[in-house]
Amino acid sequence: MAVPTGTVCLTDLRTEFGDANGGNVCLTEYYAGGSNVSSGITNGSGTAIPSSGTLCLKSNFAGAVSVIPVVSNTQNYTGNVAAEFSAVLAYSGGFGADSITYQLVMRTSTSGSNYVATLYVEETSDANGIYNSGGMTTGTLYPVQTVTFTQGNWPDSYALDHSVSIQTSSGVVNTGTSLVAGIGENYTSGSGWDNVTFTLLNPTTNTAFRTTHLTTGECFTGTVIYTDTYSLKFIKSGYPTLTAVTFNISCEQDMSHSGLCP
Amino acid sequence: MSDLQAPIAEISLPKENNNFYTISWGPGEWTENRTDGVIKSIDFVIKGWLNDNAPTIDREMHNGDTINHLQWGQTGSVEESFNWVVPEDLQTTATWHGHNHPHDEDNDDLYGTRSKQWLSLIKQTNEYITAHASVISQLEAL
Repeated sequence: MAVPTGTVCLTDLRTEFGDANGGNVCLTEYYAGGSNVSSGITNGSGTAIPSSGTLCLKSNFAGAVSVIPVVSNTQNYTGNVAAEFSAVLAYSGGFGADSITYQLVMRTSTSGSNYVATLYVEETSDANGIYNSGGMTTGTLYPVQTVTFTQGNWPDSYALDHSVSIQTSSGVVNTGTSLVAGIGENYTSGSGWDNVTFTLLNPTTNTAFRTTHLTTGECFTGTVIYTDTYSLKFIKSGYPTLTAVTFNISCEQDMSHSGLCP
Repeated sequence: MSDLQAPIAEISLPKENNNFYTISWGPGEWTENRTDGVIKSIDFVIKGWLNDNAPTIDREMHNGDTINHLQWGQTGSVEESFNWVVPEDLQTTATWHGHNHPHDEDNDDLYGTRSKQWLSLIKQTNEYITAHASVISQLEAL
């Protein structure tokens, strides 16, 4: 929805932007950067909504929208996680190290006159993956989230916001997570891509992001589980950031040590 | 494929996902209830911390490298526990080495095998599923 371009009432602002404070609606609750309107939002003419001073219902708010308009925003996987990866290491002699690596790929494409941004997950040869309860094939792209925009509402950029939680059974075991350059597509993210904003390129392009978990242990028999959490965020001038989806990917490293611990 | 560096928009964006959690379970956390040396049941404990608060320790490995690992046996920011009875065919007198030397290889191999079998079964119990979910929800509320 959008604030009407004809007569604008306070209730139109409440409908579009909400009323965080409750109670009677007051125009001063709708300064940009306040509790209801994010900084940088513009009206339908592209003029920024003021953050202070005089506010005018029609000239400041007509045509304003509170989110980047999407045609559709669809989760493509089933279950609690977008994918699960696992690796098994049996080792002896004390020291063992093993890694799990997978890729995320942002593909832009067209659907009729619309533009589509689809995030995929991809197994590498470094671990075995499961998607929608079935085994993954290395190098095949499995969709996580598909967001369709009109060309006019195509965002300027996007980011993947990452964090990791770790579960481990007792032992001398070190966990490591690296966000590194993806490979094998038109574009690579480069390393350290957490929350970095990338230009959302016009169709058709693929950009690869790679995550590696390195587990090292000494005489460690047990399990380490990494749960990667990602938020896919789209940025467009004049709109608040759109978090299209937050999803998890699970990586389980199983290690078994035998024999002498030196 | 060309693998060109993707163009970066240089926009500063606030982080949404921050300070996630660390969870510990296993022989360094649980208590074994033994009769005549045989493990009959385990008081299974799941401990959790926000990542920044997780207790870690540096340890020099035998190859000279230093490894930083979660220190077992510490009090969790949140904890849940339950008792699990060890099936008769999986009971043992073996002990967890706790990384203390000298090692008894036969003991270690037996305990390692058993502990993995136990954990596999424990993770399927309703008690584990409930306790694990509770720890996560408590951590997410911190």
